[in-house]
Amino acid sequence: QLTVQLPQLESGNQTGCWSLIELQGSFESRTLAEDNLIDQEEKLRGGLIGDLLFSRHSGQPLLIVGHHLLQGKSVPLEKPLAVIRGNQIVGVIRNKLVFRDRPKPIIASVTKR
Amino acid sequence: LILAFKIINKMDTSSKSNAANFPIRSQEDLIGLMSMAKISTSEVQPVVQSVHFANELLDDQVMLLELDEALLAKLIKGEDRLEVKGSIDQEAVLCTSECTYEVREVETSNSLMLSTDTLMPPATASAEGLDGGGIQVRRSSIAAVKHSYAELRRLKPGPASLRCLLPQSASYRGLVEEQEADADAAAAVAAESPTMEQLRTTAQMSDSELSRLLDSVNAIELDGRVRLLHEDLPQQVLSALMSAAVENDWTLAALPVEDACASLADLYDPRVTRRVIQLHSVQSGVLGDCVELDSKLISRTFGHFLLRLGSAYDLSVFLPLWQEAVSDAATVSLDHLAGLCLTSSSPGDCSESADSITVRYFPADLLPDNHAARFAELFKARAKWTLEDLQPYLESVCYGKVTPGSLLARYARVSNANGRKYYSAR
Repeated sequence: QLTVQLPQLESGNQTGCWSLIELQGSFESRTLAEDNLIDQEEKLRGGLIGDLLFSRHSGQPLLIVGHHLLQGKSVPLEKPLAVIRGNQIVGVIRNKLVFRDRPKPIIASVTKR
Repeated sequence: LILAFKIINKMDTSSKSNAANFPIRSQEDLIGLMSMAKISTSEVQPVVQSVHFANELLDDQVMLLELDEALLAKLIKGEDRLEVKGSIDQEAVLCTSECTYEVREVETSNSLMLSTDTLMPPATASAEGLDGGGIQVRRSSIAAVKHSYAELRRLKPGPASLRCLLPQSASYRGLVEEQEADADAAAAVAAESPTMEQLRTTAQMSDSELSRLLDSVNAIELDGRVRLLHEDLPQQVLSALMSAAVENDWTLAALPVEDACASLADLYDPRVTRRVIQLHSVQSGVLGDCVELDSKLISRTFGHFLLRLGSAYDLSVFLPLWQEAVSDAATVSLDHLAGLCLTSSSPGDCSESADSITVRYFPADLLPDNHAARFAELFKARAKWTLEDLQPYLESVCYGKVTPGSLLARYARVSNANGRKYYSAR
């Protein structure tokens, strides 16, 4: 029998607390591969997904993935999500970053270095 | 098995282990990337994170479970716990001390990326040594990618799921039968009967629902095993108790438990007498020395017994018979038999003289739990019902948002006759 018990840790903004980023599509799907967003190989090798930035004033999350810029938002969850590992609740998530809008291509311009 | 909880602060996939394969991106790399995206460093909060997959993904090891805030708060405070109940071949059911839930998986086509080291605002708003602008590049890792989460759907367990675990063949029939049983028969009974702890873990219901249902099916715990009382026993024991009360000048409003059990000891195992007293007492919980018996419950037990004996009775015959059986203990009334019998009076029939009404056994317990199936049986037994008559037959499948009203809206049709509302099949 399993019993789920919760550690005393509450979710917050410090390391060690669980966070959730939601991306439209899956890493295995062809659309993401076609858009050159994520290479499936990367997933296996601890590879880079992208770079996460937050707008200074609005706090809007921005994700640069491959040659695309994704603009997202921070959304509170309707109901909290418990993260369960084994028979323990190891974290609680109450917000997520969602990136749902169409990615904007970043055009590399030739610059002199 | 209850494991003591650990406070888990850090995941095993720390950034350091990734560094060997992928050195941290440099400030220049990021600034260059940002300028291509037409984002200047002054537009962003200083902490920029390069998000990587962890070296070892935990997709199969972690699960997301949606919980109500209220339940979560109780779990955090340690006021309640969630337990998986049932046997391996059954659907997953999680229980708190009071409630029962089925676990359903909700799939999404999106990727849910979980991390323990990704910073969010306001932690990203300041970085040491960077006052006037500029960025600090940090590494963060995604520990797992999920495409589904689990949600809990409340269930209301009914007596049927408990009866599956308590076979009739192992029911307790009486002193004589117990004593006459040979070793093989006794062993068979023990083998078929769960212990209380086994029942607690295999019955897919919360502990408090189990307790309530054990009372409603007249189960008893004897010698470490839980068994049903044979259906005739409660009425027999009550009859004996009532006789003993008359002989000893006891009142059923203050029955001395030990004396009562002792006086019946030749006929009935005192543990059985105690259980029958408990099942008919006004107070729930542990029995005191002196107990008040509930006259309505006594009335119900005798009525139940009579209903099972015959197929149908004229009400004019049934009522006196019933009253005689109950004698002084109660004044009988059909509402004591809610959920046990149906009368044949047709609604809207103006001639309601007692002679024209018959009553027959129709127990709620034997109806299917499935809502559609239950309504089919109800409307087959009687075409039109009042809400009042229906309620005892819906009570066991209602909980939370599932109310008799919501069920009727879905499965029944309303009509009016003589200023009263009647429900019938759609």
